[in-house]
Amino acid sequence: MKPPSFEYRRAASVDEALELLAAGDGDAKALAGGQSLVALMNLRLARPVTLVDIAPIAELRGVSSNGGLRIGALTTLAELEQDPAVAQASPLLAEALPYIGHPAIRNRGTAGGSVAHADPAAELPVVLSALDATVTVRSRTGERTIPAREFFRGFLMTAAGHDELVTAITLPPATDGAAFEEFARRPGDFALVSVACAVSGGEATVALGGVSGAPVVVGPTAVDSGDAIDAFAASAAESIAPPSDVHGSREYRQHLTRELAARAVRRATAARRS
Amino acid sequence: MTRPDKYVGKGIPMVTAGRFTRGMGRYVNDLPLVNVKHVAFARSTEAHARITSLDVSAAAAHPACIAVYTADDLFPLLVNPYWGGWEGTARAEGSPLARNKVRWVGEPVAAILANSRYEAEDIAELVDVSYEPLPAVTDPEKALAPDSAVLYDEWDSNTYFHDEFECGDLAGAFERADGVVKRRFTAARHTGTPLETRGIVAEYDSGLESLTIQCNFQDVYLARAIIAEVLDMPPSQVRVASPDSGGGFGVKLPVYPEELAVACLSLKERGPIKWIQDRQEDLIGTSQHRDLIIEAEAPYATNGKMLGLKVRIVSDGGAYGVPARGNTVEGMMAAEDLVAGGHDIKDYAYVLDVAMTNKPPTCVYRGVAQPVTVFALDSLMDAIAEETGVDRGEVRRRNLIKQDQFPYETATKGYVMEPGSYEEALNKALELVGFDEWPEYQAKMRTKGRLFGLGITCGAEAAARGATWYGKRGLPISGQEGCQIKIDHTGRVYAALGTTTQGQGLETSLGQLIADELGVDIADVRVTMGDTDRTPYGAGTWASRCATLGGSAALRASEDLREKVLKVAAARLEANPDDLELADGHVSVKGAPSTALTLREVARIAYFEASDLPRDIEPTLEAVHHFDPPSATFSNSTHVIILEVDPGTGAITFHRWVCVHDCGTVLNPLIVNGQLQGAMAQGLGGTILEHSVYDENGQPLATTFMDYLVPTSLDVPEMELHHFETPSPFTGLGVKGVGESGTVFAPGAIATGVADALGVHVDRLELSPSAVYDLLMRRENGDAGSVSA
Repeated sequence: MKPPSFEYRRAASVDEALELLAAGDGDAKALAGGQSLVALMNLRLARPVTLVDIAPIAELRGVSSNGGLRIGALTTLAELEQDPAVAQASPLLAEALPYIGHPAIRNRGTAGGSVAHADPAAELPVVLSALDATVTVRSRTGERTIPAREFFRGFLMTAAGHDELVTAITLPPATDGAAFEEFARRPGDFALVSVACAVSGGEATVALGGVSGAPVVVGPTAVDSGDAIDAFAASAAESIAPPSDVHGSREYRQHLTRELAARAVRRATAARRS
Repeated sequence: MTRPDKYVGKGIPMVTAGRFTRGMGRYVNDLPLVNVKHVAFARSTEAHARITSLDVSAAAAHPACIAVYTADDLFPLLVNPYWGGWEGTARAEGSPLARNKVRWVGEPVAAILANSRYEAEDIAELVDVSYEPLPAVTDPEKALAPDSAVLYDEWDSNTYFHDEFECGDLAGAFERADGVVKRRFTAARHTGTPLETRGIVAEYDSGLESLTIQCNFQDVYLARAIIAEVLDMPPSQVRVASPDSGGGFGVKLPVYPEELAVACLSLKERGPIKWIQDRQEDLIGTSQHRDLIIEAEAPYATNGKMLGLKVRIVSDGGAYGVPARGNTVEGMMAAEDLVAGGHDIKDYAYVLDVAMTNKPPTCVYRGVAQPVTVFALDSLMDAIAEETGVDRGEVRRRNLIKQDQFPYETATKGYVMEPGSYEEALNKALELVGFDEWPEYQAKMRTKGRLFGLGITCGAEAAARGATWYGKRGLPISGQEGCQIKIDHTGRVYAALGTTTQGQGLETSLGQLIADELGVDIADVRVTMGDTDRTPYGAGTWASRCATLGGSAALRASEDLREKVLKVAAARLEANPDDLELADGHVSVKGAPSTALTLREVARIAYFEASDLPRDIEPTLEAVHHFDPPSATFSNSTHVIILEVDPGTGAITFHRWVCVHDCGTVLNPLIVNGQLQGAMAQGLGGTILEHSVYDENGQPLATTFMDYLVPTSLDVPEMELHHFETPSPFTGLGVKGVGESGTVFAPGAIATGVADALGVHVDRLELSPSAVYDLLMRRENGDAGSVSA
């Protein structure tokens, strides 16, 4: 479990990082907190020729709030967890953050890194998909903003090109109600199934994690009664064909999806009422 | 002789704690080495295949490559090819590097030497192997079928070991019975995952013609025997020493292909060679465990007594014979321990088959087969309770060995069990959880839609087995344990044992015992272990044996030394040794404490003024003793768990976990409780989290800690531990084994609790949330599970 040899470059600015990524022509990878990439390199599943360390780039850090949230890509998950502005502006994100790994991982792991890595069982992509957030990426040729629901394309695959760097995430203002539910075999593990639910104007939208190559969004659907919630949860579970693996069968994951979706929607609508 | 007890029985914190918590432990990977060459292995990607070509030219051409070795290069060194097993097992000759055929994914095919592990791994990727795939044999029952592919070309089947046994009057038991319960039990595979993986440094000195192995083996003398045999070296020219070890749990008892390859390579290269196993190599290549099938038929009487037991056992032995110990242990121990587990069963029969499959070998891991035998026995007790209407506690009470039956000779192989507190422990545990009120409470929670269950396991853990288990079956495995103790010329104490340390606190618990006997401060006792050049012949760490057998040897050596101290002092004080006592670093005349010598003064006489001593007292203060147990020790325990199953997720929540334990005299309650807690956590892990999963092609699916889940502190509930102390008459101080008991009794307690919560049989020890969901579906469909009448 030693990585193949690679070149390590430290970028002092976004422009420098973008130059290095472009020069790598698909064989350069940005390194932020290293919580996913380094493990993949040790398993020799990722083999970047050049690692572009973007940690020193100050302009990529920090959160600004203006109704919604703009989160710099290098903001650590721990910083988000401890920021009262985050809890205020996005209760859904705040509820999901403690599920991400363990404190040591959140101390190093970054918001942009999690989004760029795009693990289908990771929490941030699910939350961003439920909220219809956007991801900002930049290359030497310019900047573009991509809806999260289009950004996550499949297992570890995103809409960002090899020469593009995730620079920020933008979340819309808080919805009427929200809830996050997740089940993992141990606290801190990647989710077997996670459900992020946002409720607006009596309609619920859920994003499902761990059940497909990318988050699956279901809704918005009116959820004005307990029966409607159960029916919505059942339809969400029926809309997916999750994988069977060592952690659980397809049937079990579908069952879990229905259960967690119902729990999440119930809580999100109750929160709205209160 | 009355025993001073300044330390024994007290919860002294581990004397090694400061060193380890400050990062000053010295593990294999910390050894300072000069000019060391690192090894990486190219490994098989196939579970079962013929090697049609093996091309190392690209690897050899890599600029950082020192050498590439294949089986053909090493085989000439293997003068006596190793094979694993005892009398009656099929002979599975092995090679450290695959020859002609591969039999498991991860089998080493070539060894690469480089100046760093990084480079060695780069080069290993360049080894080009072509395979002709053969059908993978992954299911032990199918492996035994006549149409199965066969792993060893020279065998006519995959049967590695077959044994049949019957005792008592089983036919009569079936005739007398009011009913028979029939159940089939299976257990998933898992492995030990010590925090520190395996690792070895081998260095051949061509001037001395001697080989020094530093490795975290649990049994250094067995390792020496195997390595010397294979390389045809005199054992006295081979030194095997274990530095600090970050856990073993049994999986560091085998000498594996990699370690043998490294030993061979050091002979070839005439210098130090190092290999540190990484976690992926650990999860695919260290021995694995359980993977047992027990089909049981138990005739019973309406009063709840099990009248006899008939079982068929199939054990998955894995792909190759583990040198010396073999792959029979899980199956054989299951066969023997079903009736050596504290229940009074005299009419018994078993049929045992151990099958070879294309998976890593099974050998010994904390508890060996006993977690499965306890699961089976307590599930059978519950089945009898269900059939007869006798309550679950009472069925167990009626089947445990009664106090007046001790010493109890077991039906298999004649173990003699010493008394314990079987019924007391059961009663106490049931009382602690409010067993009498349980049915009412469970029913009340059910009305709220909450699925509560109560699980029970009780019985004995067979530990500290003597020579009868391995030695008399022809293996170079010692049942005895040795201890040498020296008092140095300043009165400080040095003890050396053949056991090895894995962090289980022997430096402390044995230090306590020795300090008490020799009347010194524990800070003045240094305990060392596990070095064939420096410690007495012993059998190492396994079978919960170190404190029991090593402690007995240490006690006797201390007693001898104490006697000698008194003799030396008596000569100087012109007193009778019987009138002297040794305490607090002084030898004094009883009743006249002013007439005294310090231990330091006595030591000075023994080392430097021996000419003053009578001729029958030899100079110096040293003693060595070896202790061989008459059969084994049996500690008893009862575990009662109250748990809840979430019907939405299949998750298990633990509300109470009570363990009432009796391991005889407790040397150190902190250490004993630590052993129990750690072992219970491993039992929990093996039941609900840790599964070495293979697909039908023999590909391992749990190869990292993302897929092989080990319990963390967040997954382990609070444990309520209580003790009785019924001393063993067979060992020094009355100590019985404790190291494995938590692992032995935890799985069955969880499984019977889940069965009680759901009202269905639990037939398999693999209770992941997904598996519990399957049980929930069976509950919904009214399917109880495997046949029970």
